[in-house]
Amino acid sequence: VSRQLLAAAILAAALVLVAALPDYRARVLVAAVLAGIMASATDLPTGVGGVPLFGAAFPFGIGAYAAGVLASDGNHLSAAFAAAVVIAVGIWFPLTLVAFRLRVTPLQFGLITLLLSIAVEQVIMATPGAVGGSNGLSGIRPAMAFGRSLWPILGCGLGMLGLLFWIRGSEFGLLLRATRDEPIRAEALGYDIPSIRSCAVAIAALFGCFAGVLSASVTGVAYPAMFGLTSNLIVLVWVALGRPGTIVGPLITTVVYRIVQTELGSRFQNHYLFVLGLTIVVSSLWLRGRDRADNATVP
Amino acid sequence: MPNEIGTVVTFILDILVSAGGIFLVASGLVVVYGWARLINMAHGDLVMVGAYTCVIAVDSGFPYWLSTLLAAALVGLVLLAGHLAVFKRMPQEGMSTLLATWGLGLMLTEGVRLLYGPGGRFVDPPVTGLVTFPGGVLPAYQVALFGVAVVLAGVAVFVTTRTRLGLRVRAVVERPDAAAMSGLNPGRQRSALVLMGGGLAGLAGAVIAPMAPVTPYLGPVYSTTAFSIVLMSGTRVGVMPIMAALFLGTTRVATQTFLSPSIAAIATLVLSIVAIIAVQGRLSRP
Repeated sequence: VSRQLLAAAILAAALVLVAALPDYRARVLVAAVLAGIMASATDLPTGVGGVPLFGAAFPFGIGAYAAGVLASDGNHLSAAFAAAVVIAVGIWFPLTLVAFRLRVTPLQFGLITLLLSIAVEQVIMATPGAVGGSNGLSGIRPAMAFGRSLWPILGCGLGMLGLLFWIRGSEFGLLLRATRDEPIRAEALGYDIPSIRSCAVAIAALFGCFAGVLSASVTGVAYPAMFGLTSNLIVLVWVALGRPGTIVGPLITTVVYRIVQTELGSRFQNHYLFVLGLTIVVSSLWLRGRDRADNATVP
Repeated sequence: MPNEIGTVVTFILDILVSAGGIFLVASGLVVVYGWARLINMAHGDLVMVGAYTCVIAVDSGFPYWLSTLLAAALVGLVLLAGHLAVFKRMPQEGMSTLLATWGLGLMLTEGVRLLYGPGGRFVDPPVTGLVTFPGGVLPAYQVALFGVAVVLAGVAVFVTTRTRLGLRVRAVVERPDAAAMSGLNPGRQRSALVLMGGGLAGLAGAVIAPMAPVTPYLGPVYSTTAFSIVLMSGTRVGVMPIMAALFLGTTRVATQTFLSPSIAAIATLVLSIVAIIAVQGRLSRP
């Protein structure tokens, strides 16, 4: 309950801040919360289910591009949602199911999702037409469905977070934890581990898509690097630093990171990524104690 | 008819050269991740550092071949230092290891960019001219690169399957507990493999440097290729990485020959993922 209250408090604070802050900063905050929702959704298979989703930014990017291609004028948001879900879930669910049926390990599966995302980045960069090539898409207008207001978007974020908490606490969440902690026993009890993991990955993709569509509507851009190595692995940093399996932890670390990145990144643009790399190496030493390496290699 | 034969010969030569380059780029990761079980997300960045080392050494007046050795030594030592200082303390294949190696990769990319700028650097190939085959022609350096890959692959297969050193490597890779009980020191063996894998990454960077402009942002491209090969070949010591490189080389050349660039990229991706899942699924079976 305390975690849920914390999450609600963060989003309530965001609602108040959105009203108080100037437009640019309010958009930065809302985009940070939406990225946080993506990280929280990634936490479901990664932290709760023990399937490290290295390609976590893939559905988010698909969502952003769907908004850029189908809803760039602020209309047809539902079409963008539908297309993004069909593409991202339509790719990830069968991929996960087949991979785990063939007993690919979670770590290898995670790497496959990362390769997929990076390859999509390269495909987009080589396709200058509808998806804008290496320049990406810009000028995506705010969603008309929300009256161009940021509050309904934050409300959607609150709803998605509530759903994630509900899923985590449900019988499905319990099963997901069982597949992480005791996969052999869970299998012996008759549970279909590939199906459970596939559903968790599909849920993460679904929420990632929604967050991506909304994010593009807020920031107005979609670009190939959204599928790149950095965009994907930084989500794992947020999940790892936020304590995997808590859902709210990744949200907090993401929001804090994105705001710090915006504030300091522009001032120290030249050295920002070097410092980030150093910070990640040092943080990893601290994270190793809670590393779920055993779960990353179980069948 | 001669034209058709020429087309087929050129097609096959392109596949062999492409597979050779892919094998070179992936060989370091095969050793570091496939054998030493260090999930090295900085692999592509290490290849890039190897390429830069070679370019800078040649610009400073060193002969090309000495620059290649310098690149291999420097990159091997960088990865070994990272392993001894940080990665060794972490669980094998854990998320913290993955993030730490990625952090190292970011530092390398940005460090090179801060030192030498984002623009491309060039180095002239040590071998110039064309080599004529019955029905086809190739730049001499591409033939040399393929030769290096063949020698490297031959040495790797011979050492791992026919020598005592290879037996030790296989013991540590496949049965680390049993290897430790037999008196081997898996930790020391892993460090040696990490040094060797880093050296191979540096060597690959130096060897492919004359093929294209060298920029700080090449890392992810090399990493993607190398991880595809490692995932296709698994941890098995022997010919699997060579087969995987041939498969990926064939897929790339065939799709680029017959399809548009975007479709070719998607087709290569789909075929690679299918191959990875199929091979891993097969290898994972008891």
